Amino acid sequence: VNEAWISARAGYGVVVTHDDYFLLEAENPAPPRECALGQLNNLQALATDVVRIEAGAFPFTLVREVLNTSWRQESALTLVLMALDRQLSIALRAEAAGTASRLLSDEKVRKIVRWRLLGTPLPEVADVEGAPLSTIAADLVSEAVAKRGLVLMANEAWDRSAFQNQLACKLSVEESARLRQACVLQGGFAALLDSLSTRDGVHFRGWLKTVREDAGFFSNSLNLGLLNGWYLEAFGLTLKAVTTRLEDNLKRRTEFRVLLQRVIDSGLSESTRSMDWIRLADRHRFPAWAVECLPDLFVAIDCLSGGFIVVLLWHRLREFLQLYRDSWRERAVLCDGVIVEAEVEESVFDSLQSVIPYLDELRREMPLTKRVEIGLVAEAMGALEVVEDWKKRRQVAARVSERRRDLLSRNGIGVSKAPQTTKTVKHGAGSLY
Amino acid sequence: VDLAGEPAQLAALEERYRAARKKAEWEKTTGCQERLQRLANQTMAVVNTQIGLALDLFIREDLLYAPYEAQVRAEVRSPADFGDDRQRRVIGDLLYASWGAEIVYAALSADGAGLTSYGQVHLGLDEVTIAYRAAVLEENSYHFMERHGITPAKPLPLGYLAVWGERGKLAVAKLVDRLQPGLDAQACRTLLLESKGDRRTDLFLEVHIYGSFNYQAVRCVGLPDSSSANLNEVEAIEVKALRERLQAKAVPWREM
Repeated sequence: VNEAWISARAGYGVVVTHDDYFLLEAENPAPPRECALGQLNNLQALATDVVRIEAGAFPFTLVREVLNTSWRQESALTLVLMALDRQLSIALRAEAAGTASRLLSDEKVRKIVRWRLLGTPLPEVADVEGAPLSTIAADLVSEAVAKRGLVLMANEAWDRSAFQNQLACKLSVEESARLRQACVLQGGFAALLDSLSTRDGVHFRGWLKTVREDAGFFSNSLNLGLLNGWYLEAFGLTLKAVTTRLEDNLKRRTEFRVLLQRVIDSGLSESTRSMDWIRLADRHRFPAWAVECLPDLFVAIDCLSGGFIVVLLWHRLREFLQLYRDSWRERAVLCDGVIVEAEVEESVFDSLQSVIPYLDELRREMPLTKRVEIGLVAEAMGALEVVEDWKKRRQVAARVSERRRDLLSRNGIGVSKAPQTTKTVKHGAGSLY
Repeated sequence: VDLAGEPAQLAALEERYRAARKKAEWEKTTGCQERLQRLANQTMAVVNTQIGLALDLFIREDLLYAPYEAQVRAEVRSPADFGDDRQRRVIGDLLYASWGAEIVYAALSADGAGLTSYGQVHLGLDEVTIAYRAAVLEENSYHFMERHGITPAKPLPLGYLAVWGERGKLAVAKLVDRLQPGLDAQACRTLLLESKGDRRTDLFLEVHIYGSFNYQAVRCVGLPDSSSANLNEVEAIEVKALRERLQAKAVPWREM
């Protein structure tokens, strides 16, 4: 089978046949000419964007088509970046912008240039305001500028996962390089950014579906399951890095929560659940304050025989569990003790479920100090007292009340009155009052 | 450099050089021989590349011009298909064993013009940055291996590889048969390197540089004329951009 090696950046390709080597140049209609093996070696030694395709028979029409198309795309991108380069003269930048504009009038070229611009962060030194770009090019650049922060995050996610090789899917170096190239050149990064910026996973999932249908695109070892695994692990590593950067920031919870929520909301993987995020925080050793930024810290993960439910819950909720004596059992701790894995009776689970959303809402909104945490728990215990009272379980309600007072007094906080039982109680998510 | 500097290699080159000088004396071309040697001692290593790739070298300052294997190792690029990879590596490996993967190839040039068959931009390398890690082979290594029938079992013939400082002697040893009385400097330059854009007919001495280099190693650049009919619209703009870059970095350039 004849093979062709093409570099869009170099602007030429070499076809290797059984007997000979042929050289094809971009935008040059002359027939392929014979060349030495050295041409191929030179191409491989110099260009970093070499791709290999099947060449077919002489005069290698497909190769010429691929070479011309990829060269136009590469050139359009190069010229757009040249137009943004403040170190070049205005006259040359304008000339580059004019030629870029002509190339970008082709919709396919425009699409690829957009994907490429979103695949790598735009250089900080890019002179966007002074760029003499046409409307088409200016729109592409504006989008890249607006999404620069997200592009950085997506790139960091990629680099961290590739560098640390901690992917659940354990990609090899070669597969990792191929996957990155594929994600940029086939629009994966752009789709990821669309999902992150719109907080809707449909874009990225749609892209995954497309590439899955393209049978030749990924090898057997590089399938959809691996991509799903990649996304969660990659963002786990990145979020962990963000927590390190925010460690001394007074607004760390607020900033981290916004970022985390954006990633979670984007719903990039349909199968990701609250417990996956907790497990992820545990695997990547998020600091306690970052774990407490997770939206759900009371999650059922399994049902056991005998009416027990396995839950993951915030360690402060032990205060609640201790009210129910033999109706629960601790199984393990995660996230350096911030999360507890426990088995609880179904009735206890129901009681907790009725107050936890209220507690979670407060937890998410408040910048936590230990004193505030205790206050929050006490507040939620007050709510639980109401619930138990409403269920006519007076003894439990009394224990909750006693426990609440004890909690406050142990922590040197003044005792407040429990909420009045005459007020309306709503079950499920939202406020109890 | 170690291979070129081995005593046996140095002695063999010296022997070939003396024989060449004697021949020049007999044929009354000693003057030409000395002119050629002087010129060869002032030559530089020139790497040719495509316009876009040269522009990248001067835009992305962290970019290295690196041997293919080094690029693979640094994960700048994925490895090529194994069959071809093996074929490509075999020449370097035959010459330098496992060090073959670390070699950048250049042409020895007296006027800064290299082999246009490898690309339209000529990058002349600063001697200071390469002299201590460069060796010079009498001809293109592919042709050399073929002509001498070199295999892993057959040792390299001696006297055809020189350390950088002895390149003048190697040039004389190689080209003595082509010297004629009255040969001027231009003719000597052409003897050292002749390229008509076809790699199979290129005649030159090949420089083997251990390791990579970046734009700072480039002493001068040869560029195609931006109004040349051989350039398309994008290439013409890239040549202009390259000129402005070189100007900003104070790297001398000229049209070739």
